[in-house]
Amino acid sequence: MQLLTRTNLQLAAYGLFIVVVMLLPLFMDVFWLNRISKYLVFGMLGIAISMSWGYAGILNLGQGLFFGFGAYMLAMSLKLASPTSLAQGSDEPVPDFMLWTSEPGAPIDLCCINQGSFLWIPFKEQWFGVAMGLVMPTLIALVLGYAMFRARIAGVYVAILTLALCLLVRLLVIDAQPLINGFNGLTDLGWFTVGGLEFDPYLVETYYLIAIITCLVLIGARWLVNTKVGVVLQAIRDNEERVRYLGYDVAVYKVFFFCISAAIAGLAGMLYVIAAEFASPTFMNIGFSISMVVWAAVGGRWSLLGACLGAILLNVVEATVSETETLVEAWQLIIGAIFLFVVLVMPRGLAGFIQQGADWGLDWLHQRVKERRIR
Amino acid sequence: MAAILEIEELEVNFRGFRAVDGFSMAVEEGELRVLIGANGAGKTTLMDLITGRTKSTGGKVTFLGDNITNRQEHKIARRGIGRKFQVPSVFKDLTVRENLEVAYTRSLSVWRNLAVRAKPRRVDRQIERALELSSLTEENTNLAGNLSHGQTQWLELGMVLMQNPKLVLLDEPTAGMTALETEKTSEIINSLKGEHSIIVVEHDMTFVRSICEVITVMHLGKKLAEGTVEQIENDPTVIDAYLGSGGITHA
Ligand SMILES: Nc1ncnc2c1ncn2[C@@H]1O[C@H](COP(=O)(O)OP(=O)(O)OP(=O)(O)O)[C@@H](O)[C@H]1O
Ligand SMILES: [Mg+2]
Repeated sequence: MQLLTRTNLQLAAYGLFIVVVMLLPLFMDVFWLNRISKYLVFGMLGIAISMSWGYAGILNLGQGLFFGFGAYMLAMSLKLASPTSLAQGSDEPVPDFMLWTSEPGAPIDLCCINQGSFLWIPFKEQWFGVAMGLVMPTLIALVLGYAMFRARIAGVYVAILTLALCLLVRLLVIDAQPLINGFNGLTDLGWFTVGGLEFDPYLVETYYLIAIITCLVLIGARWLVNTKVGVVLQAIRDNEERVRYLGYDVAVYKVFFFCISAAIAGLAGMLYVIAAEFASPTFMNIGFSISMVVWAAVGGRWSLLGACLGAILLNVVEATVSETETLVEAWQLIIGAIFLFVVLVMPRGLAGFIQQGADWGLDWLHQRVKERRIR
Repeated sequence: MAAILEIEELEVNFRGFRAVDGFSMAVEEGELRVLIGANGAGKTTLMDLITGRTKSTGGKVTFLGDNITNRQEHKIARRGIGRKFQVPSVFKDLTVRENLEVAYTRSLSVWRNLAVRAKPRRVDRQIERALELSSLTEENTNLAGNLSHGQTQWLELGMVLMQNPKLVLLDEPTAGMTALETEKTSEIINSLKGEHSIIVVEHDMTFVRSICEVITVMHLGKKLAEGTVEQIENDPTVIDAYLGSGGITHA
């Protein structure tokens, strides 16, 4: 049995990552754990980008749309769970901001305090919010993906379309002051609660909730790209036309991965709300969606773990840098420089670079073993 | 014997230019048909029309009794038509073995393929056979992008073999090959013969003689002649239009 193979080394890297993530609470206070849990969420976004961009060749510059949708869906439920929502002079929870903009004399009830407020009613059930946080991004991706990939829209046009849609939704959100507090977003949220356990963001349990889900997503994604669907998808990225003449329905494959990537982003949005206790239209800023792509490019978009680590590392570096006053201003410059450096020097990202090093090491080792045998 | 493929009065009009112009042809089951014609005669375009890559503006293509004219590419492929392109088309970022795995198209839907591992044992024997036939066993873990020109052509033939279609369209499978490589290619094609019906576009007459039964000559989008090698080589219209220009041995 050959133990030192490429695949085994990769699996070892995944294992190491999971072990480190699980052991981190032994070395860090809750303040840092909360920070890291947000970075793990970004790591999940890295995985989502790697799946769509790295594996399927779909450059989505509007991933923030799916992230934002996930975040808002859960935030609506948590808003209703907040003590302030129950202290608005009604037996039933009503978000405080709705009263600020309501017509004089309007009943303080979700049914009719304003025109759209009834949409909030099912969100009283937290699990409805959770379900919507997965369903909505997937559904949007399904419709958008189907429209784009059936019409064989590809490459830069996909990037432009997704970006435009994300910005459009951002505008709509900002405009919806009475319904979701517009520009200010949803703040003052209650805690996500499972069976009596309240996930206060500064609890170790909350860190573990996010860490475990991130690891599961990583493992699931890795499994997925190793099925035949994953291989066909890489073939599509390589030469879409050729795949068609083998009989595969290319659009269906692309839509499938686009939806998975959207669902992961939606899940990440929900976890972010749990860790950060707010949802805001800034989640749909262009800058944020582009950052995700940069993280994945630096980490290595052809590697799920690489893209995930790229997101985490860049954010850790950013956090460290921003402790120093003078460097804060320069951060944008620094990240730009890192991006340029990686793209020019290691086009396959950090993960690709390390993989290449490992491949050389393995070759050298196998050569040595062969020589020994001959002697 | 019943015709597996029947082309009737097929036509495509590229903004006034008819690259294929009222072309008709029938291919029998198990037959190997060679298609020749000068550069720009419309051979590749004809294959594009059969496989749905280009939509025809007139005429009809019938395959196994079904009208497949202008259907979607993947649907035509699923009916059982495989193709090797004139410009070798393999997946450069995948390994040789992965290329063959993708070409194994017994299961095509996303849902069914989720259950298929990337390296299924069941397919292994077929892959080994395809590797052997295309002499790529040694290279099976190499990236396809690192293969030589000849090897790339063979890999694509191996992929066609994995796909196992009823009708195989081969567009200049020996283009750019050395004499030795060409010989090996005709071996591969001969081994495909019988099990599959084949249409092959070829310029190299030595090669044509080594594999051929019936030749169809295409000229300016139309059928010029059809017959055995001897009949074609002695046909005055063919000599006038095509052989006379010195094209048939080289081109
Ligand atoms: N999409 C297109 N639009 C316009 N003209 C086209 C198109 N595709 C092919 N043609 C023209 O149709 C003619 C036939 O081309 P085709 O590639 O079928 O020739 P061929 O017989 O395969 O030649 P070769 O031996 O060079 O491969 C050429 O003049 C080509 O320029
Ligand atoms: Mg051609």
